[in-house]
Amino acid sequence: MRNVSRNYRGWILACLAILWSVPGLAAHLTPTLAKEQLGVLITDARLPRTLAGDLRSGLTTRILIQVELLQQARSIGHRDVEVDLRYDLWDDNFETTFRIDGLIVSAQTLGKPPEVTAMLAHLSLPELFSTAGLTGAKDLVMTARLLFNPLEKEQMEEIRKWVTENSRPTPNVATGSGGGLAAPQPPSESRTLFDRIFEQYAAGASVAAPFVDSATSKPFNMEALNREK
Amino acid sequence: MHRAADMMLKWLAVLVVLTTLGCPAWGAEHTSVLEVDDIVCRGNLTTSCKFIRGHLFLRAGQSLDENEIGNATLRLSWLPNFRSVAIHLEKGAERGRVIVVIEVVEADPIATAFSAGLSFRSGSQTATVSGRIGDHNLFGTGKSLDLILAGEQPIAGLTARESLARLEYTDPQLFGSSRNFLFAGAFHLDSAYRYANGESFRSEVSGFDVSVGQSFGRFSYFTIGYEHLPQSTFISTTTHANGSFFTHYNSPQNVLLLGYGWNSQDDSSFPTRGTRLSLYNVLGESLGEPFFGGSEFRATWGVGERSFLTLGLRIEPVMQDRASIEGDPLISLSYSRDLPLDGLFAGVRRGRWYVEPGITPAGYSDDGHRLTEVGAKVGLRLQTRSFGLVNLYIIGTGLAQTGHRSH
Repeated sequence: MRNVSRNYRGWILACLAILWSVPGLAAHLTPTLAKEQLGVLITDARLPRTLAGDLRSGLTTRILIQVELLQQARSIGHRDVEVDLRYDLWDDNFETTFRIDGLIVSAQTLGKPPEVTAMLAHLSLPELFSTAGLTGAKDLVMTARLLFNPLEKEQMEEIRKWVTENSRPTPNVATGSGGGLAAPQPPSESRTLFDRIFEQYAAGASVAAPFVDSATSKPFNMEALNREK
Repeated sequence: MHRAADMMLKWLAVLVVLTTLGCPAWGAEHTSVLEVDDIVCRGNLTTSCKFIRGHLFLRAGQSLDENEIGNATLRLSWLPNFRSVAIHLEKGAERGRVIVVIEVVEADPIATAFSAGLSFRSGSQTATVSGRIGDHNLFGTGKSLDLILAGEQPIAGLTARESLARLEYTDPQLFGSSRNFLFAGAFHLDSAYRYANGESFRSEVSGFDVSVGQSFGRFSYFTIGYEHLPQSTFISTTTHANGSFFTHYNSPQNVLLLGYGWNSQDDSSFPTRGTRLSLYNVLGESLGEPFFGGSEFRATWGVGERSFLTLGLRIEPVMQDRASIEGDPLISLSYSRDLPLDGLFAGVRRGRWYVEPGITPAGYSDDGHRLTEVGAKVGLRLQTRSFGLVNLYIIGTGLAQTGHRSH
């Protein structure tokens, strides 16, 4: 039984290693170590095509990064990092706020959109997990899921209720009304945004977003990470 | 010295608590000090700004609520009226005041649906083609006008043919009320069916109808309408348990249409959950029976990632048989699964395949045994970019004796 379990873990690690090694598939994630804390460096994250417009919209662009620390394919730590980017219409700059599990950890002001995209292309999130208890730990992997402008389940439920309540009633099947041919209104192209979020919830996600990217680190151990420091 | 340190520690503790309370968890409301100066629309050529603004629950003079703007973007995105929706802010009259700009690209209001199917039923093989084309934003007002055409022709075997044409007008917001709606139509239906056990149905009817309805509660609605049929002939020949045939003839001219419905399905073409119920009754002279109506019920559940089960129940008047209901059985349990939108289906917006086994009572055999039509419908439902909603299906059924001979 134990052998089977080991084989299974081996397969997961192998798959994670393959995922990590395929170029262009997703963002790259590198574990970092500073002040006895594990962090991550996310590079080459794919950004939504609408990001430039979103950044200039004057509204807050929110990026939720769900970081997971795994040991032998078992989760041993989770952090929700939120990056809020808000364009100030009068000062022509971006207020950037970082939160970890809801607590503000840093805030900075960035100038033009290229500065923002450069920051996102080389996103450093230090001090996420304490290394206490991880001395000599092996087979560690970190994963990150980046959700751009995510929606909470409650918010989506409210929208779904609104949609259902505002759907056109289907005419009853009178003598010649066409029965099964009662074609619904055509969904608009913009509705694909709605459908994409909606389908993530249908698949059981607790948080969904119109654009998602993910990254997985190469398997590492604490000893090697300490040496690299 | 100790007292000062104590005081400092207490203040520090209070500060930590306040900081914790003041920092919302991710996704908590984003409060804003900005105030809404005005709400304007751009890109709307045929859709009124009042209609667009009606989906943003925010008014000039209020504080900007970014969550509500996000919700409004989704509400507007769901509407068929727009190809894209984006909301941004512009500087208002003074610092801290903003203009909310709702920028839309209007969608092509022409909607199409197409359905083609083959039926292999006991004693007959038929091909059915039906289509629907309509303007769903008539005069930029959100009203719709649709033309529906359906035809069924036998390939082999017993008579099974139908032709249907209907022009239908729908006002989903009668007199500007989101609760009231109206639909009206003019149509011609000509159908003839004959079955292996000797049963037959013949309908030839032309007329027009108008119904008004009101939504109530969360998902319910009722309708009341009038239908005038200058030409109408319904002839049905059905078998009885003792083997005899009963022929019923009707020719109503003025009928009252009553309906009740419930719809909590989250999507009309690709539902993932919810129920839909439609009950209707037709009252009129010469119909001969107090109840000449039908019902349709469908309930959908998700059964895993992108897979769904749908229980269907349809009761049609025994005096009619129609191809335009796409051969739905009396009781069915359908399994459907979303298609991966790549490869062959790369150009499709949404797609689902389904298998729908079902049963329908089919009268009595010559020797008095109860018959049941048992079979399955297998199909593909696609939301295509060029042809709108497309439904392709094959029905295969056979007759089974499900009861003892009646004496």
